[in-house]
Amino acid sequence: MSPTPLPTSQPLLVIRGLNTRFRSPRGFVKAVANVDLKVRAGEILGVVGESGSGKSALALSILRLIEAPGEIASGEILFEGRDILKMRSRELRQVRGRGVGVIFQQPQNCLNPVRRAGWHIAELLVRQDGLGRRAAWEAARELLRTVGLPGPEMAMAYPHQLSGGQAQRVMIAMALALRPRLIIADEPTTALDVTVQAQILELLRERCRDSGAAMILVTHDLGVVAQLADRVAVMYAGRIVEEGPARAMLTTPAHPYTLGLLQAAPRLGADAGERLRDIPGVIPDLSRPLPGCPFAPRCATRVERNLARCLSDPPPAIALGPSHRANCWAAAPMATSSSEPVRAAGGSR
Amino acid sequence: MIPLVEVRDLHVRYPLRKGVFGGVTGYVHAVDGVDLDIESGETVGLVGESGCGKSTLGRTILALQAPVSGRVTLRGKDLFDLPQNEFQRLRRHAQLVFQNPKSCLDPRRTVGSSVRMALDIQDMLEPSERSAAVEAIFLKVGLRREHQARYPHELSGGQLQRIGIARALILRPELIICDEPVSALDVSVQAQILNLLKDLQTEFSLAMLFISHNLAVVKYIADRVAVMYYGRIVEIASRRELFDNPRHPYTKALLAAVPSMDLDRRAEQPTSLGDPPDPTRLPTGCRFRSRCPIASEACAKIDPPLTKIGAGHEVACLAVAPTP
Repeated sequence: MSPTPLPTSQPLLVIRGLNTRFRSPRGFVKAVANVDLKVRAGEILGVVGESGSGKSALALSILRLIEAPGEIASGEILFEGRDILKMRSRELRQVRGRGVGVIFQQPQNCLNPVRRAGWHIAELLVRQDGLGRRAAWEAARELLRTVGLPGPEMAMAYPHQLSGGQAQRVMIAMALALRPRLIIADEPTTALDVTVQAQILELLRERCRDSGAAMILVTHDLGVVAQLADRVAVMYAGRIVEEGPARAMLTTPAHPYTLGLLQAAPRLGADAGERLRDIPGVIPDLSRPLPGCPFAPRCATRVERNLARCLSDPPPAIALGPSHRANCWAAAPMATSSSEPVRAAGGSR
Repeated sequence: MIPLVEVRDLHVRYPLRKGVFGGVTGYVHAVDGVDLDIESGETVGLVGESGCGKSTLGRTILALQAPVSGRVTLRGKDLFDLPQNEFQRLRRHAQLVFQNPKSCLDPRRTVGSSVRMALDIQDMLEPSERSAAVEAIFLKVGLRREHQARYPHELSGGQLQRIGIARALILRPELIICDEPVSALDVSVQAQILNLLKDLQTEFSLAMLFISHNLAVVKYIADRVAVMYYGRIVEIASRRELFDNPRHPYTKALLAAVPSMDLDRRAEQPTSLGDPPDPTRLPTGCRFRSRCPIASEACAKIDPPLTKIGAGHEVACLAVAPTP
């Protein structure tokens, strides 16, 4: 019973005005603030940010996995036109797994230590697809094969017998088991070694392409995004500060923070001796929101051009292309080449 | 002239215990025959994946871990063959910067007093001069005077790492071992700390062993780079040589696996390496054999030694012939 394919023009997931907050002794911490986001069928959206940027809170909000002291304060999350935030638990269970699959950073924490790898997948198929035990195990072995864990012994292994990479493959098989239209992967390769990471990224790309599933890839690593994403959204202090096609975001970003992230990361291709451009300062306290742009206190562009309103007024969304926008008073495409002085490529804002 | 640090045929192993009585059933050879020199003022990058023994090697150079056999000398003196009082004095010259500075600071002590404690323990400077020294080192690592009175929980990860560096540097060591010092930090803060380490290294002409799993970070900071795989150094060369002309298949695979920011490199398929081996049952012969794309029959029989193939460039691989 496959769902009727959506017309390509209609996004698979639409998030409007999402606010997720956590209660703390110092008041509410606004982890996700007024986020608008769209994911089209089959596309890979990279959500990039540093710790505390709200990227994981955003990912968890989509499936209503935010637990106390956190709560989704307001907003809409339309999955195939239906608002996840208004769903009753029965309907929500259908969306979880069947509509949206999830992959977390620490696969070992998500597997039941006293159950075999194959059981985790078979159980899903029994409960959600109504398969018989035998058929479910058969399908589980087939799924494990497609994620690069061939052989019956892998299905029979217990989680502690699996390496980190193998456990992550089991998680991917679980996420794919019910043929979801959207996969949310929260730092799927952060706990893995670089050689294993390369294999898992390749697997994710291939499985998304073959199944036609869209993916929200949450990561702190711009390299991972460059390898996989079609579009990129950059988060800072709970907000999406810039969003656009991967190429534009990585080569001509328009938000000073995006540019800062790109220049702060050491690269293998860089010339030795070239100094890294760090971003001075630290992330703001999210329990005391600033009146203007959250990045303003650390922003070199603001200082350079002496922009006073950055500190007092929230920046507007500036459109830079058909699907490229930046929330910045000074938004303009900037070249990323770090050998040249950073300068806005155009616009006299 | 002898190097600042000399590591010779070093072996470190951890016992594997099993059962109620904890009988030893085997060993993991975390460091399995390593030779390494660190010259005064140079930065040696040590890269490898989890479990390769890079942290154990770093800890053994600081005598925080006892070897089974082999030798570590600091300024020509054997660390494991010294009277206690002399060892204590020598200790000052080698300091450690940890990955997670928060876990190495006393939560009930102000960070200023934690930094000062290093001077008290080593009985360096007159007690009246110590406060001034703490203040000076805080400025050097980019913190202000008022930070001294803070407790660890009041500081951010980047600030805590600055404290970790201050605590190591206040003893004016000749060597610091940085074990994944920026791995827990966000990229914007990571750049701050890397730049700081680079500046301090020049200013204090420090020798540094920089342990990291991140090749790009190592390329940024190191003068020479050693690649470790399950207890062995499999390749060592100058930074330029290692990154421009890697020869060991494992080094090549590591470099190829780093996700490139270049969108045009997306189509390139990474070499599939397969899963890492069980460290208690490494393959016979060359330990990389089970994942090596060019392994031959001879690799199962011969455990290749680190062999010089060019100026300062050594590789442990049968398939790599020295360049004439």
